[in-house]
Amino acid sequence: MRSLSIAATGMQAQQLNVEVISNNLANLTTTAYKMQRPEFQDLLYQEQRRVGGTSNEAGTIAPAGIQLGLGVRTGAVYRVQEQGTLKETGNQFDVAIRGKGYFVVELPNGVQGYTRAGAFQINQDGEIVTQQGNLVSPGITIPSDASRVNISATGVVEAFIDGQPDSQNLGQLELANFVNENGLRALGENLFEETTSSGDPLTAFPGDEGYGTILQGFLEDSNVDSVKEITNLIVAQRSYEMNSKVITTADEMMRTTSQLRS
Amino acid sequence: MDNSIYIALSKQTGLRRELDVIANNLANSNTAGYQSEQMTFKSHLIADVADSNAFAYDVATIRDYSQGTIDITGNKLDFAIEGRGYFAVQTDNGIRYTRAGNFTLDIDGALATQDGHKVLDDGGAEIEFEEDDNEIVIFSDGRLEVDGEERATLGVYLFDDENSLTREGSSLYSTDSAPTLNEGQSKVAQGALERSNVASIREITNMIKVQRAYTGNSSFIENLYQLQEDAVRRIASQV
Repeated sequence: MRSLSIAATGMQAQQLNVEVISNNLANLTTTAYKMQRPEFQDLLYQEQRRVGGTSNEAGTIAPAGIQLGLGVRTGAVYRVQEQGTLKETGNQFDVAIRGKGYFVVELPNGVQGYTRAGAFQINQDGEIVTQQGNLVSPGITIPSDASRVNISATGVVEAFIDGQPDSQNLGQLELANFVNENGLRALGENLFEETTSSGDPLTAFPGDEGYGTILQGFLEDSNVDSVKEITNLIVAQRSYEMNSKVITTADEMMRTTSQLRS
Repeated sequence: MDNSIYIALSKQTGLRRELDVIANNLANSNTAGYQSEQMTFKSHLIADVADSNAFAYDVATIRDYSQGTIDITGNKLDFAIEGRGYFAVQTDNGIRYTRAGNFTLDIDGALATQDGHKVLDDGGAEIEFEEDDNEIVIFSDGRLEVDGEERATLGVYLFDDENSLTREGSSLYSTDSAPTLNEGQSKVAQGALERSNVASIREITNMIKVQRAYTGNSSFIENLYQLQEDAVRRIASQV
């Protein structure tokens, strides 16, 4: 009975669906989290009777054949690259990206990581770092006597020092872009790393053509739509139930057979 | 009399296959662009046997070509076809067709399926994007505009006889017949996906019907055995 294993693939798929939904809901308030979605595909087909084969001795062509599908598989789990809502925090080192692009982060192992979560801090040396203490490229040091730091839409960081009329230009934040953002590998902690399918990073300054702009004092919220997730959850649970119903039916049919002449 | 058992058996074999088809439909009830299937039976007459012995014969699986529900996803690279038609993709084995429009960009910046097969335009060429392309807009006739400039037309291909399409798995169809281009019969929607057109309620009721028919056939076989046994006993007692 193929039905047993076919229904099992259906149940496995829905289980994964629920796992992805639960991760989305768990990250409902994670800064710059992009919701994930599983995409399912049908599995291979077994041909019982070929499409276009002859159906009798006279050579009549059968208009449709018999193809028995073998279930479902997960094609991909991908991120929906939609802008999350921007929420005001008032923190001068909180920056949000409006549009495309990622901040470049120097990871401890020497590789570059990419993030859209702009909740930055200052470390003991006055450098702009992420929450985990990783340096934000290109490495901007804030003087200790700065009273206020201003980050412009194009990422230019300026410090105002008490007693000095002019602001001090400290550098400009960089943004990286990828041909295929969905090819980035998630490292956790809001970080991504490049892969062969994402392509090489293309760095530029915020506001350049094709790159987003920076908004100081704001953070990008997750783009998870809780209503959508909950309805997806209902669909997933019901499909799971229906697939289990197939297993029960197949089981009962096999019992009917085994009880013949008992 | 033996024939009766075989006739019941022929139906049972078919019913098992029908359950397989139902199981596959339900397993794919969440697969984008999946088109449900149904088994059709016909009675198969054996002419040289006296009277009419009608064996059940599962003649074909018929695909349901009704429109699946369109789900708004908000992802700008998700496309759904409203009406008939298929997207064409380039695979290693040649051009394949699909209704699952959950596309992405590949490493070259070309529009591709989740498996990395490039999506073709109305002329059979790949659709490529640059990294500084911002706004991708598609019109209902398939015209793709990037930042206000027309780039390509997403190919929507129609078939006179969709039954000639063979399923290959991974939401792809292959065919030998030549398609025609969409000329306004079907529309393309952006940020939307066509879900499967599996009607769960129909599948579940079909499943109940299959099970009942199967049990019915089993008890029929059981009765036939009983009949044979009785016959043997009676004949033996008369000797």
